[in-house]
Amino acid sequence: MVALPFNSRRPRRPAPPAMAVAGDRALRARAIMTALAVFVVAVSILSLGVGAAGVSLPDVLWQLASGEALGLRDRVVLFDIRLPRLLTGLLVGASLAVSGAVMQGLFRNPLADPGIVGVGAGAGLGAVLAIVLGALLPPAVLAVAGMHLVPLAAFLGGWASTLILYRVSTRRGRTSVATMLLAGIALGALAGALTGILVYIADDQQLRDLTFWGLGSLAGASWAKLAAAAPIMVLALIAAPVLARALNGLALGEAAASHMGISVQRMKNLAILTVAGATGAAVAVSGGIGFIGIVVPHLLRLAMGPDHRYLLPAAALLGAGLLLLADMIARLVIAPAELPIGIVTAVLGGPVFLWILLRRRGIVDM
Amino acid sequence: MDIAAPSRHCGYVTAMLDAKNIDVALGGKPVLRNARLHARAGRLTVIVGPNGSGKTTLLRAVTGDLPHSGSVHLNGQDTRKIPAWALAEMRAVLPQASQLAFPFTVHEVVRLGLVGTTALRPDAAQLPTRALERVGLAGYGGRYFQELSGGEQARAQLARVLLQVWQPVVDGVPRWLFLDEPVAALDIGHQLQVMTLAREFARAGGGVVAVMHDLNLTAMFADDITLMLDGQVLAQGGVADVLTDANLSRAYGCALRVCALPRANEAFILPQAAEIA
Repeated sequence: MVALPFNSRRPRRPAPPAMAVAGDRALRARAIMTALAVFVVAVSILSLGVGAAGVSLPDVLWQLASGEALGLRDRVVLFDIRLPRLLTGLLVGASLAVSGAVMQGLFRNPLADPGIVGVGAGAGLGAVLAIVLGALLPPAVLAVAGMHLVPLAAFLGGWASTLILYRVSTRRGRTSVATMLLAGIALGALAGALTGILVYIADDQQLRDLTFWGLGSLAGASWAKLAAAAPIMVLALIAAPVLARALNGLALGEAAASHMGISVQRMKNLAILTVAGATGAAVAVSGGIGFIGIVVPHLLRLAMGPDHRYLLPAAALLGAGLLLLADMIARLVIAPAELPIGIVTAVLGGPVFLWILLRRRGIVDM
Repeated sequence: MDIAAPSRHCGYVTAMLDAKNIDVALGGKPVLRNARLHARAGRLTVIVGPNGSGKTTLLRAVTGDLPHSGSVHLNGQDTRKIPAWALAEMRAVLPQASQLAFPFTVHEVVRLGLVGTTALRPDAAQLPTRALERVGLAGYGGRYFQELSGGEQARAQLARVLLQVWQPVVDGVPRWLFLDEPVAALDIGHQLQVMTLAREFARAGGGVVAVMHDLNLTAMFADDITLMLDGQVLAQGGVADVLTDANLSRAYGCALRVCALPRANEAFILPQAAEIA
């Protein structure tokens, strides 16, 4: 028997067509992405100019343009406080929104969100473990892990909870949403309890660290923290677009996806790693910031459809922009003090989440 | 049973599907025992049998959706050794029921079928629209998939699957369509349309394997039939060999009689006829 050859060279994918076919929302998606990019740039510039210290951006720019040296205070405020905070906000916002979109694609449900189903709590447990018990690790390990210890532990916590969640709620390739939500509650409660024990045994300095971190804020952003967490977030954001085609296929179920030529198991593993990495690192650097992961992808699906080739990059942009906006609100509402940003996103995101639930009733069976 | 005949379209004896010694157990209970499925490119092969006889299980085992023992060779290749993306180039699978997680438009669903070399064609952008036309859903591209009726959803999925193997033969290698009850949700007009489409695909050199319930459509369109009973193959061969009074009455557990239209000598099956006879 002579075997017929299958095409052994993997074909390359051409750029999607720029055609106006009925039901093809690619053009609209690209227009929205362009607008979002402009939005992110605008919010970034605004964000640099806003804060407790009265450093005005136009003045600084004028000074820079006229060749004058910046005053020490201006330089510190801009480059050591606001710039790392801006970059942290961009990365955390993008990571939270993208991990939400990826998780919803993986679970084939728009309600799956790392914050809601316990992945955030798992990552938080990892971070708290590292803060409270990190000093007990062998010095060699500490020396290697260094300041990456907390983000790394958060990543591992997020990864473990995502894995448990997927295993518990998926049977024979079908993910039960009810099981997922309930398992998420159980996981969240368990992680919360363990975190409570750790808080109970923490010393005063650790308690300060924990409280500061747990409120969910970008206020603690620094170059050092950014350097520790950014690599994981950047890796996750780079991995996300690789998942786009697989997540589109998964919308039709795992069997259909594999018949489309998608290596389903490998892609699921990559998706779980991406969610854990992005959520874990974001939680490690900024604490619990909720609702970005569920509200951003949902709004985008309404505006441009669920095609993940566009949804994932657009989610990164909108997530980054929205988080910066929320951060500005947090800084301005009770200035010169500031609200924890987690409160702002919860106040804005909670009602939107309820609205999503109301809208979904009767349209798609849960 | 002549299983080694060369295909007209390509090479020698390799343009076929050969699944041997397929055993499947679900929940510890054997569902398929030593089943064999043989299909040639250029022909429409239909799997029939009563409910629970293992038709769909056989198809799902052959397409790799169920763990099974035995071997499956497609175009002479062991399907377990072909990477997923290369397998997707060779064959497309239409599932029985479809679920869709997010509000994709019909066009976007069909477009998911653009994989591999089909996506590289210069006319790739027009293909989803043409696939929709072929299943009688012209103009449906802009509607939401979830808002379609069951029959329309089934045909939209068929358009997606058709798009994946748009050319029945590529470089002399046949491509395959696996259809699990492709007409179950359809009215008679669309049943004929879809079956004609499957036959055209086979006539153009591709291979088609379909699980069917409707014996009359099977008699009308099939080239080869595999009749299943209790997880085993009861009969395999041409229409006249398989669709006999004895085979059908045994498989379905009721008196059935195969009749023939006088003019074309085409078989049809009426339960009433068994009472008359």
